[in-house]
Amino acid sequence: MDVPIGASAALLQALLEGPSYGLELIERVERRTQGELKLLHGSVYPALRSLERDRLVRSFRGESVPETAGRPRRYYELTANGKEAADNQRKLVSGLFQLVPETSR
Amino acid sequence: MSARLRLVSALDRWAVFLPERIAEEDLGGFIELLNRNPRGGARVYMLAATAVLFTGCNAIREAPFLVNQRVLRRIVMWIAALNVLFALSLSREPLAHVGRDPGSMLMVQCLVGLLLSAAWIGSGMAVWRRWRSSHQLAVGVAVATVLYTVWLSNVMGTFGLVTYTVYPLAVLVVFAWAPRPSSG
Repeated sequence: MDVPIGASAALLQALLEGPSYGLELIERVERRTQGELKLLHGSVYPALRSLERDRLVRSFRGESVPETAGRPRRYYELTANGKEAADNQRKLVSGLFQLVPETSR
Repeated sequence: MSARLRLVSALDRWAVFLPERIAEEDLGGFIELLNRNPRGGARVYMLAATAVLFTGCNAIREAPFLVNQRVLRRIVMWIAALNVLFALSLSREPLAHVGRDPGSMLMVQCLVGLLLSAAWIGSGMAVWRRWRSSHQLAVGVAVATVLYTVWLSNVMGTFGLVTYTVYPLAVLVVFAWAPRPSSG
């Protein structure tokens, strides 16, 4: 089944749950779409940086963890613009799927 | 030392060649993923190879020199110069002799092809990044591409056309398909 949402939009929606880092965001998206949308590890980070350049998210360095061989994780959170964009996307998508009333099918 | 630990150590060495943020964030993510596969197997090797490929590509895409207009113009000038040199070298007597020897001709083709492909990929990425703000440059490269294709198909036939034009263009399409970074 095709999931009608791109990687950037999926990341914005996932960040509505709260700040998180790349790998956890990938899992969050997968969990919320029941495994239908699997984001690629290689393309998630450029997408996040692109959202940051568009000022829809902001990032901050987190703690160093042994899982990343001592590297600090980078966390992302929505900005006010990002939250507004995520809300608008949500309205657009839900509006799209409410276009056809069930009785007319 | 397990295969997983050896791969993590190899990726640590690879990190030296990457920008700090990509070494921390992108590579860190892949290493975390690698560490979640304690049993190893073929999957960890695949993961390590994917990590090198993606972090390398992301490092090139994020490279600050690609968004610098002055360097961008210089890259395009170098490509034009390379193309002219290649055209001249094929018409000269010494290389005309090489052209009669299939083995050495193939070697020259491969070497020049590598250079040209690298130049095309570099310029394509640069043009793609600045597509909106340097429209004239994009049109110039498009016209050059058409002329170059016609010239190559005359000089080298299908082999040259595929090696030096279709392949680099395919790479450009892949880059154009990837998420577009904002120009800010």
